[in-house]
Amino acid sequence: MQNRRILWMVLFVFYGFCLKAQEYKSGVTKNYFIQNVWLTTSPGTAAVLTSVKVRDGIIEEIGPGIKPGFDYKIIKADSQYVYAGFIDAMSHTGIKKEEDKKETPKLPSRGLANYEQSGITPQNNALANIKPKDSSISDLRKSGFVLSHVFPRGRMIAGNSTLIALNDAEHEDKLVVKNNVAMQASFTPANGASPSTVIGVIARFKEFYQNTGLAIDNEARFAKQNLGHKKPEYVEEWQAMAPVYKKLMPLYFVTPKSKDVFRAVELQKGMGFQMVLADVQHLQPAIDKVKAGGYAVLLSPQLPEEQKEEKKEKGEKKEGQANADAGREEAGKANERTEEEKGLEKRKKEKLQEYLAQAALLEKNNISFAFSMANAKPADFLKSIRAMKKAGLSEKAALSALTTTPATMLQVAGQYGTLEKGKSASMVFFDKAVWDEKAIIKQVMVDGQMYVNEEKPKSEGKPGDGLKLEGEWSYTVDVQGQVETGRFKFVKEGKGYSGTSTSDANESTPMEDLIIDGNKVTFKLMINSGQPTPVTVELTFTNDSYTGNATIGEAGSFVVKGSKTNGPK
Amino acid sequence: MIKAINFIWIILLTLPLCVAQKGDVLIKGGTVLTISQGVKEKTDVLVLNGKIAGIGKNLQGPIGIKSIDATGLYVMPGIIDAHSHIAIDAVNEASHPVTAEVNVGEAIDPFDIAVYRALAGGVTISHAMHGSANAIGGQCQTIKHRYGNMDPETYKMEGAPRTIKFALGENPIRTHGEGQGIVPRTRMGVEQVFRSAFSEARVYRKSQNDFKSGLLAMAPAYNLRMETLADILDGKILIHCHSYRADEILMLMNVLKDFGVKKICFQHVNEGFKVAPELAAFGASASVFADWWAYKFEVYYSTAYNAAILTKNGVVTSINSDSDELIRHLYHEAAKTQKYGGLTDDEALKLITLNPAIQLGIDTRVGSLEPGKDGDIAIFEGHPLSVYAIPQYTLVDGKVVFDRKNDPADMRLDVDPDEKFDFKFYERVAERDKCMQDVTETLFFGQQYHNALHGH
Repeated sequence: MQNRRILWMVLFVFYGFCLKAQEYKSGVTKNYFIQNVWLTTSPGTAAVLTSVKVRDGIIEEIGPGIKPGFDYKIIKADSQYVYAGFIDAMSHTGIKKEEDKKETPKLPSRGLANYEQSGITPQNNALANIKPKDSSISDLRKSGFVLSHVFPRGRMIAGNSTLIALNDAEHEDKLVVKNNVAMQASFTPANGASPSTVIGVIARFKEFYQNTGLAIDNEARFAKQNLGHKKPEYVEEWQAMAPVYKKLMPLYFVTPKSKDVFRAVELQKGMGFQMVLADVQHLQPAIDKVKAGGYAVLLSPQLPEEQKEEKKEKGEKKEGQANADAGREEAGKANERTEEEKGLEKRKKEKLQEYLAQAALLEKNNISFAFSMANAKPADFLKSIRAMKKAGLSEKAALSALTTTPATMLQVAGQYGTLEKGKSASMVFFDKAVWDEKAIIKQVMVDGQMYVNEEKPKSEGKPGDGLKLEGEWSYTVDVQGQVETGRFKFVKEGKGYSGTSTSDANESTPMEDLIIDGNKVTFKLMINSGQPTPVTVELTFTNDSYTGNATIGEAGSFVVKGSKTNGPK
Repeated sequence: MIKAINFIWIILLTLPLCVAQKGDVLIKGGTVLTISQGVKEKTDVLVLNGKIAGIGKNLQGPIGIKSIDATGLYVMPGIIDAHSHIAIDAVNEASHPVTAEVNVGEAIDPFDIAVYRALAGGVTISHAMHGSANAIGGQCQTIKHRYGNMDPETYKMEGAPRTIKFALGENPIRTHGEGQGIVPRTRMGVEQVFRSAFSEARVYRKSQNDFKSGLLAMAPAYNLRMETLADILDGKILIHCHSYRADEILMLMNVLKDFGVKKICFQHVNEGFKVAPELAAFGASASVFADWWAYKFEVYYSTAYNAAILTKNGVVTSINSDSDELIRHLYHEAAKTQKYGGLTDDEALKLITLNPAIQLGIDTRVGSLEPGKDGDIAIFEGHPLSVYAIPQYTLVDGKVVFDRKNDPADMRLDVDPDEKFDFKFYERVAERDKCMQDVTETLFFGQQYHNALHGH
């Protein structure tokens, strides 16, 4: 009983589950002849209509007049636009986010936290945590990426990275381009232990870094085999941090806002490590110091909620707006927007524009930058880059940030980043030029392996004549005495429909495998609370109401009822 | 409105270029309250390149110098608050009874609107302090209110001595003893925290010196906490200690005597009036509230005569805010000592100018109007100790950073592009000191409540 109730409750917990474009892997051969495509070989060059021969993962030949050999699979990508595959300069691709622990971990005594409890784990390596079949790998690939620079998830010093190719190998080792590439740090405090604030993190970082240096010195003293030199203390974390201290490994400092940037810069100036400013959203106030320090920057394409606002449906008020209205009603000026409100909104808009213009600002200042997908949604990222372009970023710089710049940063520019004879056959195919707002990725090739993005209608079948499915329907479900309510929403998209289920607590889950057959509708909701649980819903509609049942995992089947609340009747 | 927006734009556009600029200004014909050299009627103050170049009649500046007509106005040194928590992103690293390694100066928040509000109350310098959760808290930072600069480094007052927060009594006991079941659980425990920390630091410093002199072959581990404590023992860091009860104040002075530490300013020090001669004999100073008490058990035995009694006993005394609201009217707070204790104008004004400057070790630079000192100036309509006083201009390094006639409604420097506006009126949560910021919710309502509030 309790178990079922929990299952039903988690049903409506949104878990970042996105509707997936389908994708299939093409062919057994590794030799391709890509015919008649508009090829952009490197940023800043014009697209030319040409053909490309790929052999065993490497670009064999490029030219308009070339011919395929007998063992080449011919890809008629006529008039598709091809670019070097994108490179994600920092993320956690393939590594699931651990759910935040609700309770503070019990530590022996506060303040006596060891390195691990403090969030200092430089010995952690991404590769050990990557799940090769994780959907984040194919999600990123479907968005045009071929390489991802993966860091383990963690806190103050999260660990060192692995550069992976976004293929569909069964074993994580087969993804590796290179390992132990860079270290990641951030100002994240420890969970329930010392350090608990940003000032604690900075102090702990300084001390740890200093001790790494002393360990290196002590090892060198010991190596001289002099009398009186006792064995140096061996600490795993110092060993793992040593390449950063010796400037053999860059430190990617996560600095979303300008204050973080300023703080990281002060640390860097004091200690001298090689620094990349990572996952940056807004650094404008610090631009001079960033430039003076010669730091590379990884911008996050996850922008503030600008476009969402435009998409907002009429009649649906945002939370803030509703509050503002409530405030006006209290003041007895229901329809009047105050000067104060207008002023605040104006400044907010200006600030939004400033965020969008970060990339252009970096370009103008000749600061090397790429993109970090660590906190970005792959499906939205191109839209963000196009918005940055509108705010002044040049096409050349935008494409460089996606290809050549990260390739150089990661020291794989010899193999990736541009399309030339002898380089990896890693490319992305669009149906229109990449900056066209409507351009869609048709296929992505990773090291000579082709992955085709196939568009699949979101629903099958169609409703009967009497049923107007589109709109909102309430639902009530009785799970053994526990009544849960919410709404289903169906939206017409192209030839089919899509749908979402939203609980009264405003947690929504997209419908999958939506099948509409006359007055019968079935769909699945995938929920996840530690482990994924499928819920199958079958509904039978009569005019403006329906009845049906929901089967929740192994827990059983329960009656669902509801009626139309909004939309055409 | 348009004017206001233009003004904001001008600020925004020039900000990234500002590296704590210094200004030139000629303040003409005001009543100059020099603090150190009496009151000078109808006198000019000339500031060049951020420093006071002259005080006198009919002064001339370079051609084109900005001029402020102070006829009928009062010109005084910028007010200094020896105890506040504005413009910092973290107050308490409450994870250990000793956290000397942390430094709030490393988490300055240049966007804090409280800084502008303080400027609107004539306050040009504040002592951004670590909280009082730990017996030995973190290092503090003396900041100049250079509002408009977005680089946190520009806030640091260059050359100001290092300071550190200590705390006695209920706060460290509650946080660590009650909260975590570790020392200190009692006031006796607090004393032992100091003694063992200092003793450990001595041992640490010795092993570092042994390595330097070649007695030790291998470098001992670096410990930033011990480094800082050893610097206190070496007299390189001034102690500012949160305190209330007289017995504890005497206790700490005894501890410091034993370890040879001489420089201390007691903060709050509500029972300071009981031990004023002892404080004076030790050379300790005191930074107090004018009339704020009874917000917890150990703060009941208090008097509004505290500042006056301490002053009359020769203790260098200041009045502080510990609050982003009180900081806006420290001049009123100082005036209360004239009602309760009958201090003279100079004595009362010293409580918020020269005396806090002495306590922060910056009195050669600020705290009075004298040639050579920084151009940190507050200009009032009405005498600053009058209830009718209204701040008109505030200058930092000779730059006007508050001008009552040009005071746009929205002076925020940073705006959250995801901000949701909420125009409902919420009653302000009862005013309280910020010394326990980042700690109290955790202590009384648990970690989850704290996470819900702070999102981490």
